[in-house]
Amino acid sequence: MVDVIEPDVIEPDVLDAQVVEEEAEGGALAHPVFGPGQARLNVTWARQNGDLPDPVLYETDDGAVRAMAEEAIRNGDIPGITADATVRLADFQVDRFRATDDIPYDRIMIRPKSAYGVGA
Amino acid sequence: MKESLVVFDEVGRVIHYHLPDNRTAGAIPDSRDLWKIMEKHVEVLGGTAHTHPSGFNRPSHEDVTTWSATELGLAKRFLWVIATKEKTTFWRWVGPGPYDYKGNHTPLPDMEWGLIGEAVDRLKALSGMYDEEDD
Repeated sequence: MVDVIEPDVIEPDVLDAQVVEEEAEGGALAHPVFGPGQARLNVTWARQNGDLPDPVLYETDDGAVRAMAEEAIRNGDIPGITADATVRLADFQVDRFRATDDIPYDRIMIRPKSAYGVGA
Repeated sequence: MKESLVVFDEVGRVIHYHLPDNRTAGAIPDSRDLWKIMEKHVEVLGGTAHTHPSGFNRPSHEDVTTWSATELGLAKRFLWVIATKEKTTFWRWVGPGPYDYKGNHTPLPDMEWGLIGEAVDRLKALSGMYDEEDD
């Protein structure tokens, strides 16, 4: 008999709710005001997660977003993420989320990719 | 047949079977949901096993870059399993390069092969890798 942990599927709307909750706990950043075309950049690195204090342009291409995040982590510019000169985001996925009623600003989120196989 | 994936903990117990509708015989597309599950269970996470219905028992470039990104993102090394119909291989990062993974046919000593083996067998079935006469 295999001891199976209950399968665990996280629905997208639950993810958004978690983001709101995490941000609310942070206080001042709960509802930032960004200009037209600007977005919040959130990064996951080395089991840490944080937001770049400055907004980025939502239309910035993936490569530039990764480079920007790497530079910020090297310099220790992302609250919640320890400065790390070895940071490497080449294989990280860039997700983009438009503003919603609950989260009234665009977001760009960088996290490890999860694709397998060929041409995924 | 379709590639499929299972997430297991440090002793080989199943955490989650990842069977998205958009997977194919040769690929499992990126999934934010899969990432969130691995991140949520990082404290006990042991690794993943995925099938290669093609029979090729080595990781693709996509595989090793995903393994590398996951380990960097979670600051933890894992066991990565590839299962074909005939063989199961176990891959671990050996360094020094980010994609330097070495495979063999023996699981980590502290892994319970029986649990992983059962999960892999079910994964093969979910991938459609067993003929009816194999049942």
